[in-house]
Amino acid sequence: MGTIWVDLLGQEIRQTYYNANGVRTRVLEAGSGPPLVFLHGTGGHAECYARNIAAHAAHFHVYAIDFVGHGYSDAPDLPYGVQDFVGHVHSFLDTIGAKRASISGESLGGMTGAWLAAKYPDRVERLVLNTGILMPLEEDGRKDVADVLQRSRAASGQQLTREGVRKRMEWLMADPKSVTDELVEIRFKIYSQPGRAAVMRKVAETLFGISIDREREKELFDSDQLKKIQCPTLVLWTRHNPGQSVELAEKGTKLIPHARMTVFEKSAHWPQWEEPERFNKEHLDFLLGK
Amino acid sequence: MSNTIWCDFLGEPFRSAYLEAGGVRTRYLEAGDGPAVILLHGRGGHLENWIKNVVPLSRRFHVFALDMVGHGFSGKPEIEYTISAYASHVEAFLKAQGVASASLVGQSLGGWVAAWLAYSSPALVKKLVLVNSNGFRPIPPEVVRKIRESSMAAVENVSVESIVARLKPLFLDQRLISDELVRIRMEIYRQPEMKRIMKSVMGAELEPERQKEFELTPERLRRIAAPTLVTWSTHDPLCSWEEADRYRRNISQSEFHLLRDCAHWPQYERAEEFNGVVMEFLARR
Repeated sequence: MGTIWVDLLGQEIRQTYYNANGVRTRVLEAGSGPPLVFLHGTGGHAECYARNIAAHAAHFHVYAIDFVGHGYSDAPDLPYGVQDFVGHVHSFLDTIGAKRASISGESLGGMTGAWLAAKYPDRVERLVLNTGILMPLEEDGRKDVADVLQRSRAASGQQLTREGVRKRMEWLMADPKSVTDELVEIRFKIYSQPGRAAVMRKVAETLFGISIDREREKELFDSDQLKKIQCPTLVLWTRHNPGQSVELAEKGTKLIPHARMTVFEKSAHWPQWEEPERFNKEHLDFLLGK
Repeated sequence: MSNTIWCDFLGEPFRSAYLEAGGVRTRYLEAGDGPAVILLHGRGGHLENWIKNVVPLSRRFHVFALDMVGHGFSGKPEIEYTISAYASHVEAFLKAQGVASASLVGQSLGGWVAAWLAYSSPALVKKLVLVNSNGFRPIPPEVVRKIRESSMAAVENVSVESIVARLKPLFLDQRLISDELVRIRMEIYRQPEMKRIMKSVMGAELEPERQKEFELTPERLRRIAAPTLVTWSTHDPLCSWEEADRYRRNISQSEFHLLRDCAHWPQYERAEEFNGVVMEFLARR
């Protein structure tokens, strides 16, 4: 694997900003055809799809966006619960004039996609839940999320360091070497924007806090929502996924009316990054109805 | 290597795209708003030549960096790769973009092409920036031999070693030859048409009589009306800056800026100073 520029070398792509109902939203945009929106995870940014955009641009109009509060998108004063992200994506679909779009989300992005598809079934063409599903955590999963909350605190505290950022990103990977120096630098630069680390801290405290709080977990992990998803859905999982196990994801898949599941063996929370060839093949096959 | 190209473009609006220009599918980078500025790379090069300049210049200008015909990921037709062929392609690119006139910034071969356009199509060129530019006298045979050898070796056997050997003369500080720059040129030189093209680009077109045909003679330079900035480096492998002063002496509205401690890619090796000087020159009324 090369750098992001090398991965995208010679491809048509643009980095641009859209106004999604008042939220200036950074987007990596490529290709033409039916719209496909990629959603990153908690504390993430559009670059998590750097190895996937080109392959998908051959068939779709691809939009990899930075969620509100994340990356280079605006960070207004919000609670940063999952509904804020659902609202942002809903506005974004209006902004690009997409009556319907396929939505592929990783972790928080998958949960956001699931909520969106449940609330607005007429807007989602196909849905991919990549290592994130609306199923309450089991005991091991709680430990994983408590761990990532600690790492997130260290990566968004007063003393922002590249080492802290790296440790946080290693949580995502089956192989810690998958966290390239470039990825660390990108996240470090993003978190170094004035005031951004505090927002990232708030996002982590809110979302991971809710995830491990039995009183509040239903605000995020409401498995009843899965039953309302009307569109074809791919549950794309990994053997080493932290937080939500393969078994938990299987239970969730059964609740979704039109869902199938696939399990990757060599990645953890970022299969699209650690196993890009397999991801691009299976993901595209699903989106194209093959 | 952590400060990669993407880190320089992080969050910056830009587009990497293709467009037909005079029948040639042309790759280009585009960023910014304002008066148009066109960046032209060197012989055997590609638009990443300007990768440390596009974003800073985009703060005030509408910047286009393109792969010239036969180069980078642009089309590679079977033509004679003369200076006028490159110039016609650039002219077609401007027309296709709907740009009536622009400032041209050219390095090495790109400078020759830019100066040729300023001489042959004066209405097209607002201002001219020549960066270690070829063309005012034949490239010495010894230099031609070296660049031809290293270029042919790099396309005939694309490897880290052959590409590094090709890139070496561009930098005074060899540590600047990053893995990423090497990888980019490897991908470009691996294209199947590249061997054939390089034979023409580095072969026939570098023969003395062909260079003579398009030489930027004092008479031709004197006909350049565009305000011109000539930048040169202290360690250019092709030509000393004292000799290069001939541009300044012959172009009527011209000035000279010397960049210290860099070789054939001052726009990369001394990017910050280069960007400042060029911005100031282009923005001046």
